[in-house]
Parts: sequence; structure tokens; C-alpha cells
Amino acid sequence: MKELALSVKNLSFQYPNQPKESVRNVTFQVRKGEWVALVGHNGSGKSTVAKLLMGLLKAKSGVIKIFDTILNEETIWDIRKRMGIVFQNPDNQFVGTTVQDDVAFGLENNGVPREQMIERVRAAIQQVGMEEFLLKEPHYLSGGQKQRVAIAGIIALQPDLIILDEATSMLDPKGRREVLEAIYNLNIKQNMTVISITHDLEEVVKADKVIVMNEGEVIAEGTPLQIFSLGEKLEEIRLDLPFVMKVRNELKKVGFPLQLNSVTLEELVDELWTLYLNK
Amino acid sequence: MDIIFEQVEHIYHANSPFAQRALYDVDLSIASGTYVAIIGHTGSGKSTLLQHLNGLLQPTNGTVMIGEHTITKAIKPKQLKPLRRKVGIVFQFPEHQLFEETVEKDVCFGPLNFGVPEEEAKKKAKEALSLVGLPEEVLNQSPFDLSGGQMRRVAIAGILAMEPDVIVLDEPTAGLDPRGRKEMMEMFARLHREKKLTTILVTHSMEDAAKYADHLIVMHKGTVWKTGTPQQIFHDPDALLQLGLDVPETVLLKRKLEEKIGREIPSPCLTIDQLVDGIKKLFSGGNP
Repeated sequence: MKELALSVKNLSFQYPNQPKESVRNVTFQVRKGEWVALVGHNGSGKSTVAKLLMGLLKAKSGVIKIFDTILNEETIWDIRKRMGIVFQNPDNQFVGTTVQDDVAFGLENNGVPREQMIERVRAAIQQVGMEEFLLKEPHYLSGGQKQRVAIAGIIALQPDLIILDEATSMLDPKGRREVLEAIYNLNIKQNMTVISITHDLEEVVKADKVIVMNEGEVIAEGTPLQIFSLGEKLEEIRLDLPFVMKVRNELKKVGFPLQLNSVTLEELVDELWTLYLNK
Repeated sequence: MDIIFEQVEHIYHANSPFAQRALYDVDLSIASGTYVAIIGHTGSGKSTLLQHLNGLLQPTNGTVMIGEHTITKAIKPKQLKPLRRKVGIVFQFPEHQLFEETVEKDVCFGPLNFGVPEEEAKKKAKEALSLVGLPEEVLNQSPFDLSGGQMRRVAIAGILAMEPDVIVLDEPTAGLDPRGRKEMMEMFARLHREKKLTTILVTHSMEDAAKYADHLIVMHKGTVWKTGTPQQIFHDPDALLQLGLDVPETVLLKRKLEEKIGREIPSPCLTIDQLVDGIKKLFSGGNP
């Protein structure tokens, strides 16, 4: 078994003036190098969990352990050096006056030598496909472009763990794919652990593990296939099935003898092809 | 309110070193009462285009006609006020624009601004809330105590309370969970049907464009690349993919299956039902 990147035990949190806990008794683990999708309806507590992990909110009870260090007021600064978070709205995340400066901001804060900084900024910007915009000011960029810069700012820090809090939800499909591709590369090549909070089912399909939250609690955990096999239960908690699963279900209803064992388009095409040849 | 663009151009910071041409040669027409989707890559000019729809931006050249209003670069912004009542724009994340103490005050803000008497504005607010599917109880609540999806509905009610003839939706489902997305899109489809509201949807979701719109406008690099029915536009998926756009997943699956099997599926496949039907037909046909 791979080492743990993160372990969360019995985590609870309640916002002031709210009648009940937004996060209730949440327990889960993430291994090093894993890509974990955290899914759930709006208001299910996903983003609150992310903020607790970053130490932006303080838990009412429970323990968060990140790379073997228990998160508390003393350890938070060291832990934060090893993790990055990208939020949904890029407008709230810009600090630099140009793309280049913005990406360099975190490196400057961490005292990275200038030579190294120049190279890391360049590489990070390239990974998100923004090299044409190096000297542009943020207000000339579209929302999607800004978000790619925000992600570059995190990538440049080369964190061991990255949290994406619906970070691609404001991007167009191409932008979304480019950004995810860049993060997949870091995930594979540098063994960077990824926790992605998302409503994008096609992204969920590709995760190593899926954690489902509902009303502040973790209600299911498993591989994408295990989770999507829950079928209508997902709809009850305001989620949905990915496209390929829906097509499979409809095809089976009209008599196609498909085995429900995959969630990718290619596998479905292959299976239909085999059926076609043997008909 | 027919909408007609003739040779519309928009240059930001014209006559300055920062000049940037965002739109050029834009010709299009949107008939009253239709549901149109505008699709295009980030930076293709969609947002600039939609800001011309109620005069937030004026063309730097060309003419925009919206009903009886004609907008050119020569028009004074003041003259555009009546138009803004007729064309409501729901921007991305409209809930960020809520500001009042109560839902009622927030929804009334637009009508009051346009000189509607208070009692009537309150009545319109009530109606608008019911149109977006919120209960009357929320009227006296603070909008900030509502859930994200409800807040968005309040913001949309604020637009509907002005009783526009045209509603422009910029990515109205961004950030919502799957059910919330579906409910929101169904709500706009219902408003379009029942209120005969001309609906203009700016979206990256090709599924939504295919499912809800009668007509598509594809923007590319600042101008109109192609217009047509969803069936016409998605008939040639490769052309769209080359522009860096997506096609509905049903069309993608159809195309992959056709490539693999080497035969055409006799259906446009814009919905899952059509796709399943097409695959059935493919299987019931003779061997190649």
C-alpha cells in the first residue's frame, strides 16, 4: 500500500449562526499520488472540507493529518508549503499586475532564488498554455484564462498536494481539458496528490477514487465504477450518471446485452462493435 | 422584438495603443420568440456580443437593431435606457449581484428603477418569484441566507420582474450541481414557452445547446462562423472540433461508432433517445 498523503478522522464543523453542522463526522484517507474526486450537491459540505484541510477554517472536532503531520496552529505554515488550492472564481485570486508576476508571487513568498524562479514561472505558464500572455494584465484576460494563470501559480510552487475547488467550472471545454491535462501530468510524473471537488462527471470518471458527500456527511467511497453503479441513488442526492452510463442503461433497456463494466466512451464503442460483429 | 446585427464591429480602447478588436463583420438576426444558443471558444467574442444586446456596449461600427431601437456608435447612452428594460441580461454568477436586505427589495430594485410604483413592483416581484419556482416565504428573508441555487433564482427573478421581451443568459448553470443545472435549464425552457420570451443562451454545453435551442450561432475569433439548426451545425462534428469546440457527447459517440463499424448511423443523434434509436437501426440493418 502506498503511503498516506492525507487522513481525515471524525471531522466536524459548524458555521456560526447555522442550526446544524455543515460537516459531520467526516472520515477519509487519500494515498500519495492518488487523484480523488470529492462530489456532492451544492451545499453538501465539500468546499468546507477543502477549507478545513487548508486550515482556512478551524474544525469543531476531529483530526486532519497531512503527510504525517497533524494540522494545528503551529504546523499549518509548514503544511501549507506543501499544498496548494485553486478556487472557483479566478477574479478573487489574482495578486500580480501581469500574468508573469502573478505566477511568481508564491515563489517570491517562499524565497525561491531568481534564476530558478524564472524557469519555474515559464514552465508553469507553458503547462497551462498561457505563454502568449506573459506580460498581459489580468483584466485583459477572460475568466478561463485567469483561472489557468491561477493554476499556474500553484503548479510553479510544485506542491505535493493540490486541491481543486471547482477550479475548472468556469472554463470552456478546451480550457478545462488543457488544465486537467497539465494537472494529470503532474499527478503522474511528480506523484502529486490531487483532491478535486467537482461536478464534472467526465472528470470524476477518470479519478482513482470518488468520495460522495451528502448533507455534510460522507455517504459513499469507491472507484468511479462502484460509485456510478449506485445508479438512481445518485439522482436522489442531486447528482447524475455520466453520459456513457446513461447510454448503456438505455441500450440495455431496449435489449442490447451489454455488461455494465465500464464508464468510458471507447470501451462502449468496442463493446458495441463486438456485438455488431457477432449479431 | 427582432434582433438584427449589421456589420457590427467592436474595438476596445479604439484609437489607443491598447486597441483590441473583439468583434468584426458580425451579421446576424434573431427572430422574436425564438430560442438561440451562442457557442464559441473563450475569447471568440461571445461576451462582447451579448453586451451589445442591451446597449452596455455600442458598436464601434455597424448597426444593432433591437425591435424599434437602433444602436450605432453615435447614439447617446442615455437614449438606451428604455431598451434595457426590454432586454434582461443574466450574467454569469448573477447571485454575486444581490445586495438588498430582503429578497423582495432585491427583486423590486429593477422595476423601481424604471419608475414602476412600489405596490406594482411588489406584485411583480411576487410573480417573478413564482416564475423561478421559489416560495413566497422567501420574500422577507435575506437573500444571503438562501442556498447558492436559490440565490441565483432570486437574481433571475430580479430580471424577470422587469418583464423583458428578451432574456440573455450567460452560462446560467455554471457551478450548479447536476440536478440544479437540469432544473435551471428546464425553468428557462418553460419561461420561453409560456412567456414567449426570446431566449439567448451563451453556453459551453453543447448538450444544452442541442437540446434547448432552435437555432445556433457559432462565434469564432470575433465573428460569426456559422449559423443553423442544431442538426445542421452538428452534422459536421469535425469542423467544430477543429475550432476547438466540443460537440454533444451523443454526436461524438455516433462518430466513433461509425468509424469503428464503417457504416453510417441514420439519425442526427442529438439526444440519447435519438442515439439509441440510431444504434438500433444500425443493428437491424443488413451486414456490410
